[in-house]
Amino acid sequence: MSRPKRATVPAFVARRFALLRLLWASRMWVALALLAFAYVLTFETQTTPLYPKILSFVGGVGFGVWRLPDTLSMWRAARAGEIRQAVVTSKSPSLWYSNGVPLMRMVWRDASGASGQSRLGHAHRFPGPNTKIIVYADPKTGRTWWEDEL
Amino acid sequence: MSVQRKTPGPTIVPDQTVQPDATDVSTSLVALVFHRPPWLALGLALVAILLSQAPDPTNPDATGVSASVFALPMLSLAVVAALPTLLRVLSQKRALASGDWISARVSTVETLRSDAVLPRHRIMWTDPVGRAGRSLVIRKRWVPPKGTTIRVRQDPTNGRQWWEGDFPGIIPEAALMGTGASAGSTKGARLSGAWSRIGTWVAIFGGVFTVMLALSGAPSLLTSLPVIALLLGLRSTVLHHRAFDRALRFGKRLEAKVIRHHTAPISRISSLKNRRGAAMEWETRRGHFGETDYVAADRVIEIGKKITVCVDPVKAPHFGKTRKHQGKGDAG
Repeated sequence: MSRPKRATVPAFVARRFALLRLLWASRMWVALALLAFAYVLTFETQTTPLYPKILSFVGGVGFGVWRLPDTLSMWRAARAGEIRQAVVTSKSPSLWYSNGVPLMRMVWRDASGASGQSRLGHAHRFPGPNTKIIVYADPKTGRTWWEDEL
Repeated sequence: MSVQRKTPGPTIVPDQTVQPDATDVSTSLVALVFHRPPWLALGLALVAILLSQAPDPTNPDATGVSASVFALPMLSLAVVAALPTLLRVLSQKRALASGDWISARVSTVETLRSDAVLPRHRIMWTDPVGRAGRSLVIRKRWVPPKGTTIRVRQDPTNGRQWWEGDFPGIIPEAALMGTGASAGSTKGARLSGAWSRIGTWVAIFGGVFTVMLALSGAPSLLTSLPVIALLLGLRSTVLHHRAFDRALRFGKRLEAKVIRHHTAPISRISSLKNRRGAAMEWETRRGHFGETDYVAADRVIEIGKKITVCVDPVKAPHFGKTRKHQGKGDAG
């Protein structure tokens, strides 16, 4: 008689650092795409007017400068950050809407007592309160990042 | 019929039969890939093939180049489009090869495209450690609701988790628990709907073409082609019949619901009053789904009514057990 296998508690496996996922989660890919577009435009010197090059270059640089602190923080957290268990406490509303639906941030409190926030999103995309999650702490600033967005 | 339903069924003795586990189910590369087929990549590859066959310009004063120069870029696009599927399949294979099932709890049900008639969903779960996972997009009506305990598998290299519903052909454990033991009747398995299966017709027409070619003195190389079709069709039919027989003899019963009918396109000439046969698509409460063979009009169960499904214990597929007049009116 063979009994069905019971589900077990898994051994924790730390997520491997993945550059593409980090670029996606930090939205730094937008800046890189704009800069790449600007670079491509430089090849059409005769026909292309100047303003698309300037717009995409300045936009890419500006976006990159805006996202750089968060990207570096996420990088440090993913590379050498402390891994903590956290509990979702609430969802905090924001001023942003998407098709009339208010966008929220998920708020958590981790094992060391520090609290953190996720990025904007629909409320149903985040796990509800009292759900356990895993966060990575940035060793420099102490800011915590949800593993799902890292 | 109503009397039968009120009487208690056979005594349920759970956990005594072998349940299909990930190691028992054939999770071949093809099955894993086509669980969520990479349609975009396949389409792009087809376009690339077609583009590669574009003729070169023969007109001496033609300008430009042949469309075949776009074949290689299109092929690279196809490769890029196939990349997510490839990563998924590799990760799922790793998850199946090592480790064990992890029980997790559904933390949220994401609604994608909520304005659609049939919104698509994705579940998100949390395991005891706190690792979060997302399922593939569930294009079904029944989704495991929030708070349900589900089984997932973890890919050991990157910690990515996969719900059992994301693997082809795995029956959920909870759905199997408490379902009645089967009675051992093989009455319905005489031909198991073989006439409605494409393999049978491939075999029949393969045989016909073989005879025709042999009588007309065609070269043997050409005659061997329908023979191959005949053998493949026969194999498909026989394997299906065996699986059907197993499912009816000692397969588990699942309670499912008919969600859609796939009917023949021609209605006027096939029957009166638009009473057509149909292949019934069904789903269990846990979101696992399948389709029955094409059955005649008097065996078709209405959409939304219950259907009993037998699970072949050796391989994965399920077979709908259609009962005459089941679900018509207030029979229960």
